[in-house]
Amino acid sequence: MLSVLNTIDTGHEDMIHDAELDYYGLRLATCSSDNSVKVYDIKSGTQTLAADLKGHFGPVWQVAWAHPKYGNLLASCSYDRKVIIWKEAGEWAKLYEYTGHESSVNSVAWAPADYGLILACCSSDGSMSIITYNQDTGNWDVKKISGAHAIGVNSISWCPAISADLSLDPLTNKDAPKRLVSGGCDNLIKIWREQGDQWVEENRLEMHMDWVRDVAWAPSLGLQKSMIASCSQDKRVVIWTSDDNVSWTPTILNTFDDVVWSVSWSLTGNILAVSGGDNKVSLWRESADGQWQCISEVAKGLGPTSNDERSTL
Amino acid sequence: MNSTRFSDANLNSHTIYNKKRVKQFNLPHKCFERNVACAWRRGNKFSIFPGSQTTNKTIENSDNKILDIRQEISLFTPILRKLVNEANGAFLSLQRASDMSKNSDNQVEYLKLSRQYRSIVRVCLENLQEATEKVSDGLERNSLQSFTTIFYSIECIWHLCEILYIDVIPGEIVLPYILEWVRFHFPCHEQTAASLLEACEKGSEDNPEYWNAVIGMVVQGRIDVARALLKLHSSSDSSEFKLLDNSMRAMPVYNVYGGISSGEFTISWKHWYAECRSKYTSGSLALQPQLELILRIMIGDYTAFETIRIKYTSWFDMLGGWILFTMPWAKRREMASAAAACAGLTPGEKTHLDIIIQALLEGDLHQVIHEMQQVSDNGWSATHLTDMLYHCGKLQILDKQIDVTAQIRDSLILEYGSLLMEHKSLWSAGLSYLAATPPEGLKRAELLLERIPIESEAKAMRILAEANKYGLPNVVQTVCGCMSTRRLKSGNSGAALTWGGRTRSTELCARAAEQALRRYCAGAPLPHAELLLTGSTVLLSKYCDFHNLYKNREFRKAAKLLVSLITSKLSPDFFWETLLLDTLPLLETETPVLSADDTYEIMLCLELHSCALTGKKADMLRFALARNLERTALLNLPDED
Repeated sequence: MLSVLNTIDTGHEDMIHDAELDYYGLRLATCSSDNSVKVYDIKSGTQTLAADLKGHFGPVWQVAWAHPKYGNLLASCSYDRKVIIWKEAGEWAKLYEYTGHESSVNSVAWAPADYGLILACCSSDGSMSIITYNQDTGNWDVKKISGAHAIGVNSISWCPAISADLSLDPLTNKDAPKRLVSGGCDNLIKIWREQGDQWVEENRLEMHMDWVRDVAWAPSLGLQKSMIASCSQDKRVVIWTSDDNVSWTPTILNTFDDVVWSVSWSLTGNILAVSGGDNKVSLWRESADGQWQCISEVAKGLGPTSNDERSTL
Repeated sequence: MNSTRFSDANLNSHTIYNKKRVKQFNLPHKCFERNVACAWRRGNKFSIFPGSQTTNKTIENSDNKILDIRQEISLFTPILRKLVNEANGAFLSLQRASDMSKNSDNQVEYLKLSRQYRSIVRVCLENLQEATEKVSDGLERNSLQSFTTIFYSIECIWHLCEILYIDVIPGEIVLPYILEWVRFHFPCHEQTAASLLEACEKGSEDNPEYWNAVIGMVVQGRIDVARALLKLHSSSDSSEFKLLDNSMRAMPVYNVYGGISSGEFTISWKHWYAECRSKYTSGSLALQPQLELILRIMIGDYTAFETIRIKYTSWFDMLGGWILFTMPWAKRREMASAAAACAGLTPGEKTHLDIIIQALLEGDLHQVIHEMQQVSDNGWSATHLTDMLYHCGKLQILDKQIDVTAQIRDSLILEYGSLLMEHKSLWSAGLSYLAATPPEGLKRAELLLERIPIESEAKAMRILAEANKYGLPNVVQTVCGCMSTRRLKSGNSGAALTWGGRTRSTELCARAAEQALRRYCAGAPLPHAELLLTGSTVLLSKYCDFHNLYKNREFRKAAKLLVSLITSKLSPDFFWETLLLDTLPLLETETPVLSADDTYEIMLCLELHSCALTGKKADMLRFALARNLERTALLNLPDED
């Protein structure tokens, strides 16, 4: 039985594009076509607007919270070609602005905290950037991967630190290579690996027949298995699995009635939420025999449902 | 694994997208006409918002609301808190018992723990009933009553499960246990019978419940009580009554310790049975239909059971009687036919409880677990019962010829543990479940533990203690890192340093030490010296030592330390001014404490860092240095110790 805990009226004046909860689930950041980023405190069931961040001059596509051990940092990316990193120190303020892309920046993602303060972003100009904070100099160093996907890159996601190299003992693999997955308008999914001070394309996964809209690397549970979910305008969701991070096997989770916009894993990676143009969010999980099953669906309704599904035997 | 708490669990279905099994949840607002997206929170909570990856100005804006959605968790109701905590204790004892009995059979210990679980449920039921009587709010009463129903069912299932799979039964003869189970959980007509016997009046048949009570006692196997009741009938002296009474009295009762073999018993029982049967066929009770009905029940006539079915709420009421009159020698693995026969008395749709009880009797534990997951107790009973049966070695579930027993048990415990992790005070209980299912459990524990909101220093320490208990160094690092950053942000560099020290992180300590020095320059006091234990904070630590020496008027030692700090060049740029100016009072002590060599060193540093100290202050220092040089040039300062 699901229930609505809380309704947050965002007050955005246009379409919302993303909403992300911070590490502890106590703060919500939203961004919208009204060019603003908003931060809400949602402690104890009530929410208060903590900040209304203005700095972008175009629709803001995505926001991402950094790990709290680096303080309260929020990254946002926008159609205005900029990535802004915001920092809360009493008040929220702009900490750093990155303007290295020539077109809309579609996605931002912080690297696993173990690697340091590193942000990846990708753009419709077909390139991706890896922005690293240098503790000694206090500067942000940028590495750019040009021509990552033709026509544009839509989404990126980091490989969790623990499964960076599955053949290593999880406790001692601090030096395991960093990996990223990206999805783009060339219908491809690509896996990138850091090698020296370069990022190289390690693998390309072909399966989708239209733009790949979202990719999500599943949280690692210390098992000898890596998992990536991808979704596309071809209406399909594909689960990619690997036990060495090198060779990947696709499984089609489902073919939906409409374009699938996003896929996201729950914190422990046991449930995948899929949402798309059919105005539904469906929750999926894998059964013991490796089959994917839909376990819940959330859809628009006209009023509270009276059918209480509590079973009392 | 498919032991979901979100909706229907589906253990044995292999269909990919079985629409019927998917629970659809309708949002209570008329929103999200266009596109919807979802963001996860900790645990089984997420937010839904009308998200979109494109801009489409032509679409009219829907109200931009975000809904926080979570699964309802009835276990978090305060009245069930005790149940959760005590079950946790029993669960941990069970894991210990199983660890200790790797090589030996430990059935007695398991039985004890199974009874402990049952008594936990019993106490919970008593609390629920007490609360139901007190409560005035209708809604709350409903919810309490529904909990009561749920836990009555769980108690009943667990008890039967204990009889059939956990208890040690002599000779495996299960009848007395089943009768006890029926009497305990389905006490029917007992009160009527008791009050009739107490009144002890001839002609009790005037009581409209008289015959129901007599038959009820027969079906429950309380033959003596039934006979006593029959004696209260006004015509109990008639030949029909005597005939039936004889048969009832003569009924053989099997007792493992009774000194006769089951073979002998079977022969005498069959003999008795044939006698009863011939009494029935001869029609000698035809004039007394109620007596004849009792006789038909005693010879296991199915139609007789069908006749009385309507008087009971379930078929379980008759299970004991059916076994008693058709197969009293049955062993516990031979219950399937009895279950089928009794369940068949109730045509139509079966409840969860019907299905579970029948599956238990048939030995289909897979089905039992599958159905238990649908109980609205958030997996409490499914998890604990499965774990119990698993440890007793009674669980063997095959899926396509692969033994998935351990997998199912683990997945239930993982889900249950993760669920408790969401609660603000039950999380440590949750951890103990996750720790029982390595390696995935510990990994999950790590992910979930790190994300428990830390409202206070005390909470952080508790999380650290738990993380250390279960060997989760990453959590220790994360928590210390976050706390250190937080303290730094609020300007408490001493506390930030302590947090860095707790996880022995040079990076955190260096950061905090630097801030402490900076803040000292800006006029803040130094942190306590005890905090400064790590190597990277040498400068700060030594500088604190210097202050202490100076305060204790050990000027010679203080001067030596200060000079060593200056000459070591450890100091960051911003701190040079402070260090150099600190030499001033030492240069002007009554008896010189800085030697000529020291003075030269300080002069050198002053000139090397001329940008750190300028103007009047620099001149003042130069002057003091020159004067000190003048009085020490020809003096050899004695080395202390």
